[in-house]
Amino acid sequence: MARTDAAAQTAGTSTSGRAAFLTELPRFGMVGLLVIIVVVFSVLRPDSFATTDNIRTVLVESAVLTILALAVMIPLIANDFDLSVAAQLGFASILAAGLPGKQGLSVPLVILVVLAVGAVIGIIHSVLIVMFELPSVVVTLATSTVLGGIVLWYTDGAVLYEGVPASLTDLGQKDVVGVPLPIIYMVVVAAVLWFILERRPWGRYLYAVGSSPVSARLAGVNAPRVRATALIACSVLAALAGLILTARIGSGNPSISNAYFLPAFAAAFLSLAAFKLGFFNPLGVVLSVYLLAIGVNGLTLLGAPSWVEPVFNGLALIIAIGLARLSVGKSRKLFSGV
Amino acid sequence: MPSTRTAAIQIRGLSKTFGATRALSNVSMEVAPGSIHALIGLNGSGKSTLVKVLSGFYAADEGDVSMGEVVFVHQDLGLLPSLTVLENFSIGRPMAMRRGQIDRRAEEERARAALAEFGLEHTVRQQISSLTQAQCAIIAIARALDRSASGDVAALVLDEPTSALPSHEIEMLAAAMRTYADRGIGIVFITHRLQEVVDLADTLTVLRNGQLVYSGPTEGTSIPGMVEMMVGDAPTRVEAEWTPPVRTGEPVLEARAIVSDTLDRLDLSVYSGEILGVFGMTGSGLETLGSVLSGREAAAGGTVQLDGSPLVANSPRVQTIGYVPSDRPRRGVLPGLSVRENISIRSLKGTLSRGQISRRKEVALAQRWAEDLRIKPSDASVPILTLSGGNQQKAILARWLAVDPRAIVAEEPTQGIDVWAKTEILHRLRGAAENGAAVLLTAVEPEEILDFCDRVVVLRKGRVVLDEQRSDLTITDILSAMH
Repeated sequence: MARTDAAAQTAGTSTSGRAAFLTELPRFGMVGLLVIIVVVFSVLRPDSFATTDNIRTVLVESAVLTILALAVMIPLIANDFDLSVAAQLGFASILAAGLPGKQGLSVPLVILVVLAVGAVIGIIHSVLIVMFELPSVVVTLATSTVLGGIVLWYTDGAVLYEGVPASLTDLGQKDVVGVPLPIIYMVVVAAVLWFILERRPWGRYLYAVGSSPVSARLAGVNAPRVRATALIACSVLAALAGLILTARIGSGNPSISNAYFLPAFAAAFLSLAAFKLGFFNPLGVVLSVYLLAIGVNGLTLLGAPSWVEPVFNGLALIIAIGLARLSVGKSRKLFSGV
Repeated sequence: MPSTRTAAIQIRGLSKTFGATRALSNVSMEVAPGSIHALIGLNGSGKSTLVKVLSGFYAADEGDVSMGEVVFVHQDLGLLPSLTVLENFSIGRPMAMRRGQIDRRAEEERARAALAEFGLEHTVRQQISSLTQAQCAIIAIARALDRSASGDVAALVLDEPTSALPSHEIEMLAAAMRTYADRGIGIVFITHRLQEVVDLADTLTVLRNGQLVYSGPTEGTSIPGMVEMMVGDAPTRVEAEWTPPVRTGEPVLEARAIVSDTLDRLDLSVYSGEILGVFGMTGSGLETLGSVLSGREAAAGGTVQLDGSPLVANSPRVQTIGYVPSDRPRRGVLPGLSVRENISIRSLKGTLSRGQISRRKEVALAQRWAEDLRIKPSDASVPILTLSGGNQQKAILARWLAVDPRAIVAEEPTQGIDVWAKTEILHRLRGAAENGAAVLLTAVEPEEILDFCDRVVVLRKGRVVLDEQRSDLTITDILSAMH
């Protein structure tokens, strides 16, 4: 899809189609890895792994994480870190459960308010990071802590499950033509992001700012505006992920965000090793989330203890980034952030 | 001991050839202990080759050099800006240790002692970045001498030590050089500023095309005399077909009373169809002129007019002014991206079809420009950093040529690139001017681009001191106006 025309172009300008094929190969290494994992687990556990139910579970369970990882990825392209995405997801999730339950807001209004709150957080980040030139890591670490505190105040540390309307949970639990809604949301978000990053000038400007903020500015790119937009988009997507989370599980859990922080960043960084080597990219993020999720799911079905999951995730990240370095070579930096 | 030496550096019959080029041809010179010796010459005259032979970077083909320990300080000084003076002194050599720890007191004493005679001992705990350029230069020299292996340095070679200094700081460095000379050290310094030669140097060597033109006392020579020795009787080459463009209408770019740290109420106009060459020494204001006139930096005072209306720095209108910055690696190229993406960054709107970038159109656009400017390799999908400097420069120029800009401002457009790329780039700039663009080129070394200019402006101390048609000028006139 995205790559066919680019691949064709490379094949056209290289000396031989075969050489072009070999140089293109590393880009699809992670796809190959995914296929191998699926085949191996299907052979080892045909009755539990290779079932529609299991596949459906893995896909639905990771949809929220995928949207969050896509959110993290956007400012990372311009070398800005948003460490608060998981806290924003938690905050949005609590609001989505509490606003109808405690404040009695209608569902359309809840959706609007949660997304607007996300946008406001993004604007605050933009002002501090872009306008006042404060380091993004520090700013978002701070807002992350503040949001965690507000969540504690709003919930008293208890799970909010009363009064979450069915019209909201329907949005997270129903199917459309047999496909669970969270998967549809995730596919739409990934597709829109892919389009904007690969097919709109804004996406190119974002990658240009990530490559060199000074050169991009001198080339006439409005670098501050591009970075600010990226931070706002990240926060709105994190809010959307929180909304979908509450819709799916029907409650707001004040401590759920911790489980999302590292996997979201891991998937974003893993995307450097897939498709668009050395660049954060949305298709790579989707692939990375599912590579990790399917790997962990298969290992669990094989009877692996729970500590295997974080070890698997960590090792996969190091191996993937190492492979990306090898295939990209020294001609460019892999990632120029902090 | 220095007093027993007859010469700090003695060079006899030195020759060095690179391929078919004779970089140095039978050059002899002598630097006496305790004297200050200036080494001057145009770009490509052999100055840097001579220094590189002295530092041992190149081996000479013929001739011999006899000298004691020589210490070199290069133009970029090699100081770490975020560390303190003391840390810069200590780093990179064994430090004084006491009971397994760095003996900070001993280290500080050593640095203070080295800086005391220049009145800089109070700076030891300050960050390099908080000091003036002249202070940094003195610290770099003191540090280099502090590292002397023998403790008996015969000569100090300074590669353009003053080129980064604002004029009011030069005096301070000059005093430091005099102090070292009085200790019996022979000092060689390369410079472009001829006034310094007159003020500072006891003896002088002039090179031209690898040949020794003069080596002897400074006394009795004058700035015009030095310019003549550097330039020789080489006539200014005028392209046969060259006719000065007819100036029509209002200027495209106009600076009105621009004030910045180095520009002093500067007025300057560039007209459609002409190539204006602006020359000046480092510190003349040349470095800020390009970014201010192209709307990339705001000036402290005055206005820049584009087509008769004021230009706000970094507003969308600056996109119609092509800007080729002198610091290509850090300010020109988008290092992570491909040649195609570097060329097309300003032309993406034109490649949109039904709301999305047409890959086919973008590839065609980049490929056309890559082939047109003979970028090597011609495959625009490769990362830009895999290209040579000259080809990177072509890609940055192509970025702007592709949008048919109203004006192009190029700083040092031929710096660090080979002669073929240079010719290609200058011809493209001429082409842009013929299409109606106003082209402004800046260069510290006028001989680089002079032949391609229609009009010449010389800056000194932030002001225009010469503004004439190129045909009325010789390189000697320009060099004299610069100094």
